[in-house]
Amino acid sequence: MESRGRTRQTFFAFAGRYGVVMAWALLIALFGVLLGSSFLAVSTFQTIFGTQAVLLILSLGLLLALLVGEFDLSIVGAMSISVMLVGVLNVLHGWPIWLAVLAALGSGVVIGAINALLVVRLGIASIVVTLGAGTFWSGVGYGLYATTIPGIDPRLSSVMNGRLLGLPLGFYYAAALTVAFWYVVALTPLGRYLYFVGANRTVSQLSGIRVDLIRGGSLVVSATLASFAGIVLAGMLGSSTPSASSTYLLPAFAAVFLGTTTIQVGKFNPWGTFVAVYFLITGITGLQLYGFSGWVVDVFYGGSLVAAVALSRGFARKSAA
Amino acid sequence: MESKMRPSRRVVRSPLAALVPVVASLLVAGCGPAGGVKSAAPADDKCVAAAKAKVDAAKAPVTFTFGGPSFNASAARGKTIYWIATTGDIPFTKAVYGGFEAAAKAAGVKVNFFDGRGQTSEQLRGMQQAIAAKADLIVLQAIPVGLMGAAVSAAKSAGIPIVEAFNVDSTAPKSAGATASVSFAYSQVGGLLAANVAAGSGCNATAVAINSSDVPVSVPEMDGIKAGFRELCPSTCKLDVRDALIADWSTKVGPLTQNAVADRKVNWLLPVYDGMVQFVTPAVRQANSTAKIASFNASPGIVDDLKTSGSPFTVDIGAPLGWAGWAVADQSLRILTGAAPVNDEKIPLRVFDKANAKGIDFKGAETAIYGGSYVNEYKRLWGLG
Amino acid sequence: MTAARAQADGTRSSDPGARPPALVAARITKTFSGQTVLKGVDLDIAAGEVHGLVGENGSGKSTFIKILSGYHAPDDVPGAALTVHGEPVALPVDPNRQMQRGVVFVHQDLGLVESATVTENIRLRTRGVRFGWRVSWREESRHVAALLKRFGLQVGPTQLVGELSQVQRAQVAIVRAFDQLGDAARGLLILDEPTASLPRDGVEQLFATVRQVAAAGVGILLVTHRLDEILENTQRVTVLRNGTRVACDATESLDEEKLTELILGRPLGEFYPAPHQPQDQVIAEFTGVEGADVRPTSFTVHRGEVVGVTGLVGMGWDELPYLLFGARRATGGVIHTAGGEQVDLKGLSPRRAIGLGFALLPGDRLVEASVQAASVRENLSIATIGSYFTRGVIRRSAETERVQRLLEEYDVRPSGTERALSTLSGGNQQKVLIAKWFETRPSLLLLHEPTQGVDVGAQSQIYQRIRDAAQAGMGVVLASAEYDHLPHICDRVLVFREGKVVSELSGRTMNRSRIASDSLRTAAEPGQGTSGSFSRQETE
Repeated sequence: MESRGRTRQTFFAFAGRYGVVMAWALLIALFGVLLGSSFLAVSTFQTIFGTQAVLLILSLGLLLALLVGEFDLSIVGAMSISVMLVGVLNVLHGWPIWLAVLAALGSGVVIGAINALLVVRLGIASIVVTLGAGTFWSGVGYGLYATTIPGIDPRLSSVMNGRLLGLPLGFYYAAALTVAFWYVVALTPLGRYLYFVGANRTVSQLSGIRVDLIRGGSLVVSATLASFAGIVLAGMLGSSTPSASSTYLLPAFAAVFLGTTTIQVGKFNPWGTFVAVYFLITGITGLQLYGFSGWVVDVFYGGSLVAAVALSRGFARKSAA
Repeated sequence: MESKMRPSRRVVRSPLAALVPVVASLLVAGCGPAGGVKSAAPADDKCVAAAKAKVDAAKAPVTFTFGGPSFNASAARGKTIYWIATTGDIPFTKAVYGGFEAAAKAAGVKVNFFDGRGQTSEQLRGMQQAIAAKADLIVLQAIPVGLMGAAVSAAKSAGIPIVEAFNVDSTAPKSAGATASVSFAYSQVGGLLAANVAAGSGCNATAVAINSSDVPVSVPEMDGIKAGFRELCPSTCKLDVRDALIADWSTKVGPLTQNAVADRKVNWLLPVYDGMVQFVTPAVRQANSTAKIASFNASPGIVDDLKTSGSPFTVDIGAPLGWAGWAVADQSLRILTGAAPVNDEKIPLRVFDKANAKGIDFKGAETAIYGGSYVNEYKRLWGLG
Repeated sequence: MTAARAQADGTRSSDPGARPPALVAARITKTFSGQTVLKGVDLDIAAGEVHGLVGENGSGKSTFIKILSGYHAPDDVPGAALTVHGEPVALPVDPNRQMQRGVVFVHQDLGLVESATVTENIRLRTRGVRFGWRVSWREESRHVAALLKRFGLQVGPTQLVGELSQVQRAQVAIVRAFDQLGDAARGLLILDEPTASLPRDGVEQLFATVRQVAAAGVGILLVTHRLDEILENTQRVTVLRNGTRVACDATESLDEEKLTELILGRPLGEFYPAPHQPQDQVIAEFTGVEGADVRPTSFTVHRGEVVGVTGLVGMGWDELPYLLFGARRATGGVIHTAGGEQVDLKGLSPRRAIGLGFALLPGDRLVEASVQAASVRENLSIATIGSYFTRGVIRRSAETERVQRLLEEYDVRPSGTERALSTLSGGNQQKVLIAKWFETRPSLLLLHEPTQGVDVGAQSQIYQRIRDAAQAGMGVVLASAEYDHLPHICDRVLVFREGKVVSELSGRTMNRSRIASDSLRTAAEPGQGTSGSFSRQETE
């Protein structure tokens, strides 16, 4: 009797932890049956893994901010500035592409530093600061150039789109960042400090952790990662346009929060985010191939998030009982 | 990337048109040097007649004027075309794609529709998906080719041709990177709008155009309007241009219109797309203005308003969308079979106004609305009988 | 309570054998998520008996009371039963029908409405209702006046409760409870910390009323921390420890020391660590320490010395450890370290303080001292995690091994390194946190209420640790309001009042009652050692 209860507990704990991974596998199986070869083609998986690099990079930046207990709503604003800078500097002002990319990356550092100053030094809530900053920088993006700038140096595209084992290089950059993120969080003292600062600032401060540096630093890194995401997008498009970035905000949040329901349940974690991003796109791709049109994307994002959080909570309760 | 717009050289076929220069020269000859004071009236008459001629010609039911050349479409059988739409939500996309899908079916070609949802990120994903799926041809509908530059290059490297649909004017050269272009004669639309205004105002117009500068094809349309006025009534037709981005239509167009018609001299309003008309009309009514509205697209549901008595909506220019879909298919099939693409699919335009709208059921079949047939004509060109 | 005492009050002594017992509780058991808090407790109270119930944190005492009030449901265990005045009560107790069952409560907060009259307060729940739902307040007043007279209270029925003294209010609450039992005057009255907010001289007055109620035949259960009140006023005492009833003895047979030993579970000498001589070497000298509640204060801490700071809450001693660590903003003060360094307290950060060899364990465990959701291991190693970081990775196995060893050493139960800290009892959590700070090898340990909410067994262990630290040469500043324990652990005690040290006690003067009385003294009493520098003094 006791052992059966224990097995039940372990099952629920496992289901809670790997639920999304299992759902992902289930989804692939389901679409494989329904759609056959049109889904189970190499090209489908190439698309699934190859087109989300921008979203994954952006989500990792957001993940870092949320991990230390801050909101960063300015990530798409930073991304927009970065995208536009690459186009404006490289195409309109003739800068060499590497310099334009460096400038775009630098803009992320600056945007993040301004956020950090306002949040950490002045003590304004990060959700307020970054909401304002995001709107501000998105507007500046339009101010830099209101419409599309085509013709970015094709070398940037080859760096982003070049194929390795059938997948674009952009995917590998995003995957490498995920690994790096995981390394820091799991294997370094900094990772412990990040977690503690996010859980309780007072305890962290009193344990000798440099809380302000970590909070501020996280905001700088999240904005810089957003800039990097913008550079990847500019490379994938081969052009700059100010309206391209704003649509990434909600999917990034969805991915990060969905990620907390798997791998390390209840905590913001990089592999969970990775799984979430690809789970979501698998579902959407399958549904679109099945014939559902545009609205299915939003329904799937929202529905998966709610379902995952609810189920995860339920499993956690059952495994603790 | 976008070519410079040239004024439309299209000449409207009508027997009356040939008389215009004769009549005009007679009038001028009749006046003589002492008749300098009277120069306004003869120019007006000439202008009105010219404008009316253009309008009347365009009001007639359309005919299939595309000459081909013909080719054997069966060589394209079994191939796959990816259609990447700027957004699948709007009736425009649905109507055009409907025609395209039917045409492809007739030719035995498989089609895949990708909805770009109005988002660059989605449109890019569609391109990447099409390339990964090794499509035989990609149609980019109303998505700037330059915006997708890298993906377009990638498609080119993979040997996938790209047809851009409704990106540039039909008389303009295609965008760099595209294999071929299919579009409407937006500049001609502009010219017809100007002609309608001239005819309807006795060549004495104070017109306000409402542009949407974020739509690339607004450029040839606006240029066409300006060129039209220049040609018909350079001194007596005044044109003022305002702007409202698509996303702001619901909030900006109304106030903008009210502001425009506050000047009582304004007698014509030209929103470049009739999607704006629903915001223009109430503003005109509220201001108690007598200004009339002329627009473009003849969108289903909107064009019906021409029949409403008392509505300021007077003219709507439309192009048959199903036909346009077949035209895209035609261009695509040419490329797929190795035939040379054409410069102009000659998709016709028809002017609807309060007069001819009365007899048309806009909810009926497209061929009934526009009057011409094209399915069999295209099929014949394709060697499908 | 002696027979002589009863006679002096002029009350009849009731004969317990004449009526059924006020309460018989049998095999009361309660488990909360795997932890058994009450293990089959039996308790019986005779009619008219004043029975004391004592036990430390974690003894199950409050859970037992909550079961009697119906707030918790006891476990369904064979033999579990509750009988009040001979009538069985269905378990779980229905809180809405206590009164009818004959069980009434007087809680610490009394539950009186200050703006209402004595009559209204007493009769609110039990007033007679006449035809047409009218209440005759005149009738009620008459009833209440008789009641007050019976108990000899100098209180008028129409007086507002807000006008009464604290003692009178408590008396009114007891009278109300008695009245709720109805005319039969039988059943059980439970008093939960009734004297907590009373002045010392009011306590006797209150117990006079209590005895009168008992004399009327009601059984009384007195739940309190104050052992002297138990010894003065009860006939029997039940002691709970770790969920079990360890004793139910006649009060006559007990004295304070015996009672304390029963509560703690071991002789006092074993509960507290052996005394130890502090060294002469100075660890740190603090001069002019000033904060929100602290006026400029100076003192020195020596190696191996445990300095207690105490007083009434808010008098500054409770802010002191935080000021010394840089956890609260100090407005003045200098630290003179043993190494000759001078550190301005105003700019001190916790990080810097740790660098100086200080360690702070805050009293608010849930909010300031630990991350409850994190594992035991993570909480324990957070301040020293850098020591496991070699060649680019944290050596998890080394960390887990060390933590496991520490858990065994500190007797943390249950011992699992990955459990969330919140799953441990308060005492075990505190041991983990002490281990955390000892890992930083501090030279000065700052503690604020280290045994608050900690069960008896863990308390002793923690005190032992503090002594071990002192023996190893650490200095300790222990800020605590628990006067009972301070004399047994500290070498000297500084009593604070209004932010200043008003007395320094050591040796024989360092005892519970002296601490208590000094904490009430005002700062400006002449010749009694006011503000100034306090190092070890020879007193008495």
